[in-house]
Amino acid sequence: MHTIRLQFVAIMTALAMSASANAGRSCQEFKPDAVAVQKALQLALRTPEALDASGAQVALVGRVGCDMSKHGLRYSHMAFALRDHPKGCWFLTHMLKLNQCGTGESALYDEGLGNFFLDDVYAFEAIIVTPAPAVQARLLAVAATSLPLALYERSYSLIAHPFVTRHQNSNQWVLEQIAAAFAPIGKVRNRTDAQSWLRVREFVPSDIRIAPFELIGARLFAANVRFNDHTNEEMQAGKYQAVTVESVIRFVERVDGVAQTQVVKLP
Amino acid sequence: MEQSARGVSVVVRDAGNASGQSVTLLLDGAAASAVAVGQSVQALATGVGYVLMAAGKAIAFIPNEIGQSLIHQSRYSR
Repeated sequence: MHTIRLQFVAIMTALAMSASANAGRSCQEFKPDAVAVQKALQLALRTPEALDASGAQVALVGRVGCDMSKHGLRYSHMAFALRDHPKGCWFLTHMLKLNQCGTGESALYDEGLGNFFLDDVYAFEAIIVTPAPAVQARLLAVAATSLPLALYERSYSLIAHPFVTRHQNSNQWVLEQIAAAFAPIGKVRNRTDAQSWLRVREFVPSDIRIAPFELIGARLFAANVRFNDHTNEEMQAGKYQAVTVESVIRFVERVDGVAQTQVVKLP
Repeated sequence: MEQSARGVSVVVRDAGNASGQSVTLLLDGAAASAVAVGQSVQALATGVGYVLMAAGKAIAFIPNEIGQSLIHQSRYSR
């Protein structure tokens, strides 16, 4: 007799903010059909092949969890993939809202690529960013310390402000570790340090537009969309700064200089 | 499909073979509510294992050796 445990509850993780529509929900039940499961597993199988081909030891992997075209974005959520992950080859480490749906809190998880893509995936596509070898070495060094926990904030917001430590979104947790890796050793010890360094290095966040009428719904119904870390100017403009996959990739490509980006896409 | 203290027991039989293999699924949330006692399930073979389907929806994935390298979830710990 075999015993397995699986969850097919899709979580609206990370920046699953197809603006107002998804901003009003913190979690969605996901019941994949046969085609979706097959494709997700196929993508999970092809991604490590691409990772191996890149020669990376650690890379950033992003997925398309929902339609974010309204914001000019493609990818919704990002994780670290470690070739020699202590729990399995090319396992991921990332922030999720699993088990805390609707509470506005997150947790950090180690996952296989199958789990990663069996979440609510809008398109069967992954983006992989491979930093320079020296940067990878620093990322691994950071991962081996307590910094990932020091740079983690349980209070979750899809649109957490990039330069405020009150809340955090999943891509922001990745970005702040990247800051620790790029900054001189010892310079980043907490989130305040990371954000200060990111500001100095001119990190450019994405602007997420949420119209005033959408705001009412978001405030009332979404525990994972918070506005109290944003400025009055942002509120008036209906435009909120947030860390997105695209903004992280732009930053890494600029600061790293030789980072390689590739897309794994199923036909 | 039968309920047990440990979860949902699925007896998988070949169409031409009366004997079967019993699999206990520890289903969570939506997956558990998606199946009913007595309901039949279909096993869909993939390159990485079997996907169990009920009413057209996937309720579980039984990985083979390759699939096992893709399936894991645990709280972050170092």
